[in-house]
Amino acid sequence: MSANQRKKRLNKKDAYKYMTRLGWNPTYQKEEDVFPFLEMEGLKIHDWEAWEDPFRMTMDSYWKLQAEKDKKLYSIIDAFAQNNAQKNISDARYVNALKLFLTGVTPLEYKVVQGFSHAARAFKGEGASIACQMQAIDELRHFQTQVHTMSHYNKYFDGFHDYRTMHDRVWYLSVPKSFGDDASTSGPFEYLTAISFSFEFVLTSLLFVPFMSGAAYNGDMATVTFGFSAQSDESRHMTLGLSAIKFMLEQDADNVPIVQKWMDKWLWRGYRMLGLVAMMMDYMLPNSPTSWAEAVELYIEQNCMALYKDLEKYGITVPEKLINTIVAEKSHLSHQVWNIFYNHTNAANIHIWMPDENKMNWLSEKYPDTFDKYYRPMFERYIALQEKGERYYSETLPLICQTCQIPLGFTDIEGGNPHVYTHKTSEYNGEIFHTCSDGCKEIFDAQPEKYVQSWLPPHQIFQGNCGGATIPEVLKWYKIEHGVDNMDYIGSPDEAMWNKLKNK
Amino acid sequence: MSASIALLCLQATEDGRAITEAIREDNEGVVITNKPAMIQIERAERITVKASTVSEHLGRDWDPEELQLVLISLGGQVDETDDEFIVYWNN
Repeated sequence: MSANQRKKRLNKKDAYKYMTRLGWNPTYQKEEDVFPFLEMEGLKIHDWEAWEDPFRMTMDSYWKLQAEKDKKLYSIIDAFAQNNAQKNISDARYVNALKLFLTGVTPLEYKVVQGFSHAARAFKGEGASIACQMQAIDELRHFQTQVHTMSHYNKYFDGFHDYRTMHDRVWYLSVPKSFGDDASTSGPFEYLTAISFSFEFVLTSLLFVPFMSGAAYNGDMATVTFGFSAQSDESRHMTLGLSAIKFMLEQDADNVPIVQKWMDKWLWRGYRMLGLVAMMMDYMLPNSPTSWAEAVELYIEQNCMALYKDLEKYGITVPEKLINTIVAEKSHLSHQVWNIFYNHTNAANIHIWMPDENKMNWLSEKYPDTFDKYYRPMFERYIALQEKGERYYSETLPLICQTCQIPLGFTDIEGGNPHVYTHKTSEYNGEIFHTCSDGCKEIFDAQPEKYVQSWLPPHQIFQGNCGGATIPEVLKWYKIEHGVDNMDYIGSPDEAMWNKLKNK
Repeated sequence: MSASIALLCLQATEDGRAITEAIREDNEGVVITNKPAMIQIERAERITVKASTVSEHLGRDWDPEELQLVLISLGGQVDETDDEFIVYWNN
């Protein structure tokens, strides 16, 4: 059967040209007053026309396609709710992965609506501005569809109720929050490198694909669907990231060292934040489709390398030191982060549990060199203590990294000392600042005037800015209900609700 | 060094499967893997999706921009026109 003759219309190249090149050169005002952020980062741009969106997306197509995506998504969300599909998930422990997503990732989607709106206004080229505007609207869609999808779980489970306040206040959520704040307080070119390139192109597969395939393996149809719907936009965002990087590199050879510095910084910032995803993949999913180590092998060791190879001709080099650390840590990271959460779950908005025998065996199989040697004995000790009624919760506040804001709980794997915590310090204006790694220390040392302003949760608690100095007072300020939203899964109201749903 | 691999991940839907069949026809040596809910398509250097072939498989007029409705992820640079959608590496 042959396709029908198309209606006569402009071809894509002409349509893109006529519908996006709508700018003008200002004459009433000086250019530097209209575009005040263009030169502050030291980048040299000679020809904005060289920026072209490879998708050649115009607004008429954009609305049509996005409306179609939303229509598909909402019909599935409705079906999910109508069929009480929360009963079909593998186990209620899984729901904690969604709480982590809603409080950690979803508010970042909203943050980047602001970031891309700002970048769209800051750039002088229409091609760049329109791509950024579309991405800003995409991110608003992601934010809304994620909240709508997960609101169904809020009817049955705890911890979903005030994700905005939690994102702003809960100690470990300052890790994603500070990442977003750090990016959006950069200039527009660094912002694009941070979010469009390092995050969307290099790391997004490590965030979305594990969450979505995790959802698929644990019976959560609604989350799979919003994930795929968002991913269809991500392909455009990834392409924007790569176009942005190439544009900056091609415009002037002097741009190369500046862009390289940003690429290295944001690879490391993103990687540190994804420690939360590592823990989610290996511990929070009752059924894990892949381990964190396997994801690093596919997305960092293979895909990330192909990308850097593509940029070599511009003079960009692989940040080998950072990559070596990521690869060295891949068999330790998730276990160490889960350990941190086990010790501090009294102050968290998610439930924690120790892996059962099946899960321990899966971890032994996926981490043959590390799990049985270092982490199984530690976790078995925790279980033994728990059985004696001596479940340990930390009552003190951890020292956290001035850059990534993760507690200093990582150890010196590369140096061959997996039992020794890594701890770096820098001095600035007569004060000592603490970081967790060489990667974070280098970021701090490059811009100390920025990072000394970081809002660090333990410091803020001690300064009396978080409702009080005791855990109950701080929890109240977090809007976390003690004994309901926090502590172990076993014995929680979530567990009781799950047993009721499953008629146990 | 070996050539970089161009990648497309499509949703395993009716449209996604028809697009995959068109890709199989037009791209010699393409490797297609079925994953849960997803079709992974890999080929050295370049994958070309031709609108005319997809239209024949679907039995209706198909515009390359509709690819975005089923696209989950891609690896490579993009070039989209009225007639085709190409993902490629320039290594």
